[in-house]
Amino acid sequence: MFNPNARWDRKLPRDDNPDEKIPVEASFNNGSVAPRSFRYAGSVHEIKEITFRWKERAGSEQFYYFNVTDGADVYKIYFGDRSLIWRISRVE
Amino acid sequence: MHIDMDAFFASIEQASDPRLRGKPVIVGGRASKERTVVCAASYEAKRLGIDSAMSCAEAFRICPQAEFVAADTAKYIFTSRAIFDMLKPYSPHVEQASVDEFYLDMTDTEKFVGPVEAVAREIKGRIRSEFGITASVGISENRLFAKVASKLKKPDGLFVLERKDIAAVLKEMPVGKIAGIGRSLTEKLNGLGVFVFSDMAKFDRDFYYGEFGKTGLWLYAVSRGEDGPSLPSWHREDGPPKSVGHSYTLPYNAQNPELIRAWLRLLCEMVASRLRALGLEGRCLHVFLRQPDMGFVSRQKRFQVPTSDGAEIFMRAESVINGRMRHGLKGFRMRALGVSASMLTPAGGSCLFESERKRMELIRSMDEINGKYGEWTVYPARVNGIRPT
Repeated sequence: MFNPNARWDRKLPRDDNPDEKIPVEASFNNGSVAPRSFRYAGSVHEIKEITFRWKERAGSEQFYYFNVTDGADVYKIYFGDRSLIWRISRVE
Repeated sequence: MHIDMDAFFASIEQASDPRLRGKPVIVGGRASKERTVVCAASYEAKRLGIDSAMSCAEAFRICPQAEFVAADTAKYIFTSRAIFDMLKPYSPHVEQASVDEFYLDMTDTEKFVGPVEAVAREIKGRIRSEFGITASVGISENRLFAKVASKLKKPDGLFVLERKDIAAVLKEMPVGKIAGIGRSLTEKLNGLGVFVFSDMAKFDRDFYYGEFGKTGLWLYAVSRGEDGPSLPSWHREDGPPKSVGHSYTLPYNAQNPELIRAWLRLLCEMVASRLRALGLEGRCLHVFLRQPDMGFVSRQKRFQVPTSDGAEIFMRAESVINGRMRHGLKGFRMRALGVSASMLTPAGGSCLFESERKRMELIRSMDEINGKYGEWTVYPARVNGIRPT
């Protein structure tokens, strides 16, 4: 049977440059988290739509990833459940 | 029932970024579009002739305005698993065949989940609503023809291929398009005048067996619309592999021997980790190093004792290189490298020496930590050297 965890690229080291921390307003409800807005590059971005969400464990920490759009751009932001920090890793 | 996701990676990227929808999208193996291959292409890109495994350079020659996205493996794996979990209530036997393909055995499930075709429509609807992507579904009497059926109405298709219709529907299908018939088998069949599915009925069981051995029995079954019991080896998913290997094309040409060793160590650990997961050890080691001018060094060596220890495999890989290259890695410029272990045997588990026992315990602990807290939690320090400074 196919084992997704056996994919080689999961073993490639991660980028050493930490992504930028961002303040995020989010709702936590029944074990799920949904970001509503975030501050980045000096302005507040209201999230119009969470276009995709996924999670990944790295070490002991679970990261919750979101592709979000403010109507103009698409951003990838994520939240770590141990550090309780939100970061932004990509702006398209 | 066979569920085949449509342009899986590219569709996820289009779902993630609304601006990519309806555009030709190329998902590349790494962030730089200069030196990578197409991992996936959206249907808009496929229509222009772009497809997986093509170099990105070629893809952009075909369509300079194509949108390029670096692959986000974690996202695809998560989605694949989520779909797999979603499918479980529909059948007691759900199998994940690859990151974007699933089989469901729908035998005797109707009284629990409803008619198969209705289930297929429901699954397609849920995949679309929950993930924003599409899947093509094939339904037939067996796995092989369910898979064939799922390809017949791509993308977003649903095709029920009944036994009585197989000969008529697949009449003109080239044999190479049938799952399990690869390039070499296609060439042999073509040499016998078998080009399309209907040609397969020209020969009887004895002829197929005489020409192809056990594979011939399977081919004969296929010609009759069956997925016979005598499957060729590549269909036997429970059989042990003959070799375990990994290769990688670097995002840059490496000349620093320490950097090359770091990459070699990484691949050795990946091979070792897979060997351990399979409960196997390898005696023979094959190493290849490719240079920027596409010349390459390819060497292999058999060792007395089989191993699944990454450090030991690395030492063996170095000895293979140093034994065959006059100056070792000094002055060598590398573009790609690969490591593969073969002559595989089941892992013994017993150790003759105390140091060996301690080493095995250490490896077991590392595997447990990585299993519990996620891969790459503990790894060999030398691998840190692959990060260019």
